Amino acid sequence: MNAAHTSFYMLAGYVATSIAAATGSFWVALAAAPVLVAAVGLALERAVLGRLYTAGHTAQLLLTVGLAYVIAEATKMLWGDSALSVAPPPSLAGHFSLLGATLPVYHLFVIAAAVALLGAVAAVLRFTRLGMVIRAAAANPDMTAALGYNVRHIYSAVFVIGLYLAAFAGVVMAPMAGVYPSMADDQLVQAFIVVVAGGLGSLPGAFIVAMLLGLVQGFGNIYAADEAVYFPFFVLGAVLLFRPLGLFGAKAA
Amino acid sequence: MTALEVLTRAANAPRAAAPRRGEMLATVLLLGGLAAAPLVASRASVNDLGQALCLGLFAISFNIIFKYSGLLSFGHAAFYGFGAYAAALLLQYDPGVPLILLIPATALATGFLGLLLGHVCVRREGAYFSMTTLAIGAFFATAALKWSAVTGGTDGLDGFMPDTLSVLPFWPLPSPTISQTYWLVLAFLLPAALAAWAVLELTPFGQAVRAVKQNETRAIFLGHDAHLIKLANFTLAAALAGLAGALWAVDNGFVSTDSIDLSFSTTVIIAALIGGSQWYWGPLIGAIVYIAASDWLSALTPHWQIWLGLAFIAMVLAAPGGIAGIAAWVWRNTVARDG
Repeated sequence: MNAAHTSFYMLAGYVATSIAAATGSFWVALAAAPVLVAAVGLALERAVLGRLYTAGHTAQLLLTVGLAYVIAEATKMLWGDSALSVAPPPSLAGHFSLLGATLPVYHLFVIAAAVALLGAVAAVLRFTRLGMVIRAAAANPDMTAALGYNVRHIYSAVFVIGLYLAAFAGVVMAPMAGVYPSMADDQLVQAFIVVVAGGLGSLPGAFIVAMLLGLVQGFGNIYAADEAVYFPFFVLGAVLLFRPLGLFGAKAA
Repeated sequence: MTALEVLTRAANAPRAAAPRRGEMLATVLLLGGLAAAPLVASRASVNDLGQALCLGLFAISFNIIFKYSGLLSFGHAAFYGFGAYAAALLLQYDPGVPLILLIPATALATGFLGLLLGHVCVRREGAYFSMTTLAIGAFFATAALKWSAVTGGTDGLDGFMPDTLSVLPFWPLPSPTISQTYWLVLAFLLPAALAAWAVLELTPFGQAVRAVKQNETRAIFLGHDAHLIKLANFTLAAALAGLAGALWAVDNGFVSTDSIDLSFSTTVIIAALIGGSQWYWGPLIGAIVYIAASDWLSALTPHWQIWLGLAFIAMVLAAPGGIAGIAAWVWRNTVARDG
């Protein structure tokens, strides 16, 4: 459980901005920034976070709250308070029209990248031996350790993969939404809503709720622009009223 | 000794929850010191201390959920901000409303809000509770920002304090000094905080709350309705947070989204844990230290929050008991060792 998860998302956006500015290529930034951020995350996990795996959710959440503060301030110290922007790569800078609306080609790329990564993660978790061991470690860490797997390393690996995905998203979103200091908080709320409404630990649940939120907000922005900011909360409230465990939530042990 | 004697002796043994000597002494010193502070401190520090009192009661209310129910709220500022905005709006509507009515009414209203929202939150534990409360906190923060017809949006609410404050009916307080306002805040805050302490430490309800935290299954088998007990505790905490917010509105004379946004929900977590979550009054100490440290650090560097974050990380790793935990350790190893 990580309250600083979206801080890494933000950090990746800033790192990508700098790399893109230095090399002039968005693709270099997309390749390098998530790896750099995941490496920072791995170092932090090794140094401090890993000590708390046995201490429970609360200690982890508290520690990551402190971490979020540090990352947020460090980002402001390095890159300043103002919002930055990145240009999308020239090959994706055009527009296309769909049903009379003109949209940037870059949006297609974002959708494709998200679907591809989600599919890859789901496939690894579902069909590979690594995925099986990860699921086993989540379900029963003691038994997995008894079978000869180093659960500590599995947790590290999962943490780093999660950070890589967050960082990748941060870079991909940078040309679309810009890079700004409060982006971590904004995304944290969205991410928590998605996870809670989808059901803790459910990949399809998270995917469906994320799509739902996107649709609700998209249409909301068009038909009720003033009220649209509240819609995600109504979605969450409605889901929790009828399915307290989330859409795909299993009964917790 | 017969089995019967052993049994009766156990029944006469001191209550497990009876406060220890050191804690009592510390409580009296702390509360007495706060009451006497305006006599010795400068105007600016009394002003700061008034802010710290409100943050302190807010931190205590956060800790009531954290310490007694074991639940970590990420959106507690929703209740503080609700109380602050409610008090400000009521004063705007009727400047003559006496504080003795206004403050309890705000606390009751916030408690009712806590009852409604808590019903959804306390159904699950751990990270799930934290995420649900965060979403609620975000909702209220968004509402305070966007519903500007009522809340004033980014400008907040200003000028709602009447020149002559009505404390009791027929007891007007014309242009109160900083010290008078401070004592006024304390006069509402202390009884409320003490009452909540008594409810949690001395009554069967408090025992039940702790039983549910220690072992929920066993408490359920003993006939307790665990959901109801957690909900009642959540409601109590929400009411106290609302009270703290209302007092802050009166003390500050200005209400903005700072009192309700998500970072304030994090501030209260940090303040409560720095003070020490295992002692009821620890969060109050944490709030005083937080306000003092943020004043001092923000004068030194604009990026003071990085030091705050680092200090907090160090504390979570090395001294999870906070200041109160360190003090208790020192007490155990010096004074209490002989006695």
